[in-house]
Amino acid sequence: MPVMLSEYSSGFPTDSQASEETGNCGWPQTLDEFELLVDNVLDRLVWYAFHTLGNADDAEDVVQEVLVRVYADRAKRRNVQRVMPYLYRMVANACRERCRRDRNKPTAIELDRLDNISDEKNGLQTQITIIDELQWIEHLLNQLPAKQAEVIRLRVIDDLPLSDIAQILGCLLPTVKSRLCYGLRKLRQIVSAPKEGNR
Amino acid sequence: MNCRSFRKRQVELLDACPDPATIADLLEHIAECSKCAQELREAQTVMARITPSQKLRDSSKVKERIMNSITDLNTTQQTDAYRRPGYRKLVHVGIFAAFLLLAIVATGRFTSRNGSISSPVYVTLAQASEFVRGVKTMHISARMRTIPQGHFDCIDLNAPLIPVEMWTQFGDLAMVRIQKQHRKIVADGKSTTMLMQTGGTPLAAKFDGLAEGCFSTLAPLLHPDTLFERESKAAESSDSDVNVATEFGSDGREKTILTISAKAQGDFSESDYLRNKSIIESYNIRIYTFDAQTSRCEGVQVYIRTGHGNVLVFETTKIEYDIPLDPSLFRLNVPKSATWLNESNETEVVRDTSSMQPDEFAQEFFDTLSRSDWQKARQFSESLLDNSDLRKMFGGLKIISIGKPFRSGLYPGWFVPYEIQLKSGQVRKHNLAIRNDNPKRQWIWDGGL
Repeated sequence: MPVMLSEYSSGFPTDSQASEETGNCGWPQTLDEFELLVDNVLDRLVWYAFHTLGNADDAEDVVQEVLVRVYADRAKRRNVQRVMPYLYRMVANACRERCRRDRNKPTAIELDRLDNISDEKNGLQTQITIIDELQWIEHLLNQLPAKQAEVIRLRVIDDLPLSDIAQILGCLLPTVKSRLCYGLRKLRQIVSAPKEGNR
Repeated sequence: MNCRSFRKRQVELLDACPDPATIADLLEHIAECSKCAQELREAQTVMARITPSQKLRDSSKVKERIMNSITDLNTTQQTDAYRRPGYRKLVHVGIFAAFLLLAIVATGRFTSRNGSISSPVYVTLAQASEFVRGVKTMHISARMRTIPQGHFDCIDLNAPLIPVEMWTQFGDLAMVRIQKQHRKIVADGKSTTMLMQTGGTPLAAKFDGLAEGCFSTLAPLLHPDTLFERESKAAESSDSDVNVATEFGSDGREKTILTISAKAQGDFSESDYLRNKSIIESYNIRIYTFDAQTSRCEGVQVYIRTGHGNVLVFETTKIEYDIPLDPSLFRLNVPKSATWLNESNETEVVRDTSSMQPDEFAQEFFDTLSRSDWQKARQFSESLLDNSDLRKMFGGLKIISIGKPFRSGLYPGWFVPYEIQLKSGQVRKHNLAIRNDNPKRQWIWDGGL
């Protein structure tokens, strides 16, 4: 059986594609560059914030906050070379701050938050499917050491290249590779073990 | 390639966009080795199983909201710019910046002098801030030129470099532990406890909340986000020179080196007494080393510029992030024998000293000690004179002379030179530190015995 390297393409542009589309010009300095960046990254960042916060409204608010800061502080960051990892780190920090601020709000994917998610693009049935799936994925990933789970989350759920994951997590590429390798190995054991709750 | 090498590198085939050139040998191997091909397929299968079949798409209104916010932002900025009377000067600044940029490109280095903070500096600080905002715990091992029981802000250029350890756990209630040989400070999120071993009875003090005044020089290191903000402000100030350079570290990785040279703060027109007694009151050079790729701060060194050259007064030997910290670190066991410095309630004013001159108060203070009037002495020194060791040493002293008071550095009070003879016959000559920056304007003794 041939090995399909592009088997996991999610339909979202990959980081390299996004970079090409934004002209690979670094931090946006003009309104046009910024709009191009928003077009290319909005879905990806909202998705990342969504599976981190478990709530679409909060995810959108966080991403909006971050992207407005991206433009407002553009002069300060004009020398940032790799924009995507930087944006993910900003969103991750903003999500963490929001969780800290709203301690009473759930941070995991919860079905009872569904009433908050009802826009045109994301129909209710789709939401239920997505959240159900994410709950099951989180159930599996929670059985792994947190650092391995985080790498797998970014690689598989967010479809990010390993080099970007290293930048986002602030660690070395070989560390990311070994976390992915060991994480997947454990995940294989968990998935293949006939445990209740693993489908 | 053998199977072992393949297993080591197979995750490269699981990357989002693997480089065809680097994976050619891996592909070649699995074409020949069915066992490795099977292993890879299993890894891919498990990844496929946890790949969401659908993803959430953004609301169409989100982009509109963002772009509206940006338009508002632009309008505000433009209005502000035109309201500013000197906005035309920006043109000149822009030309200057262009020359500066050329200089950076040409030299690969950047030096900012007297307030012209640059993008590279901001980027370095901003990236480091972004990194530390996500950090949960931190441990710093350092060496500092200070005396083992002294205040953490005080440095002594003649003292050896002694170990200082710092731990912090970030969160709503930040927990901190800082210690050197004879002084420990622990903040458990609700209060701060300090323990000092001064030779005889241990001294302890407790304060509500996080009492950063007990370690104000080191506190920013334990709040790196504040540290970088502070450094960025310092970099903008007219008293600092900023330099950013890149170089390769001993680990072969690229490092960003941020150097800030700051002039001594404080007023030394009357006396140099406090000059070089703390980092902030010295002409100091602070050097931060960041990993260029991860933006982690990997080291801090502080030098003080003296007439005899630069003297290293502080350097980190290890900085660890996100390591598990034992909760017992944030508990401090105070021996039962310790004297608590701030146990008493509001100090009773036995004698109103608000109208006294500093030297008059010094005279009054030593007179009180010479009479061993501890009830009155408590007003001047809160509860420190409850310490039996100090009572024994200073009770019954004789005043030889009181000199002319002076001020120095950033200290909010006064120093009064004195010479006294203790009951033991020993003669002491030093500067009494006194202050009256309290609501009742009462003088209190603050140190220098």
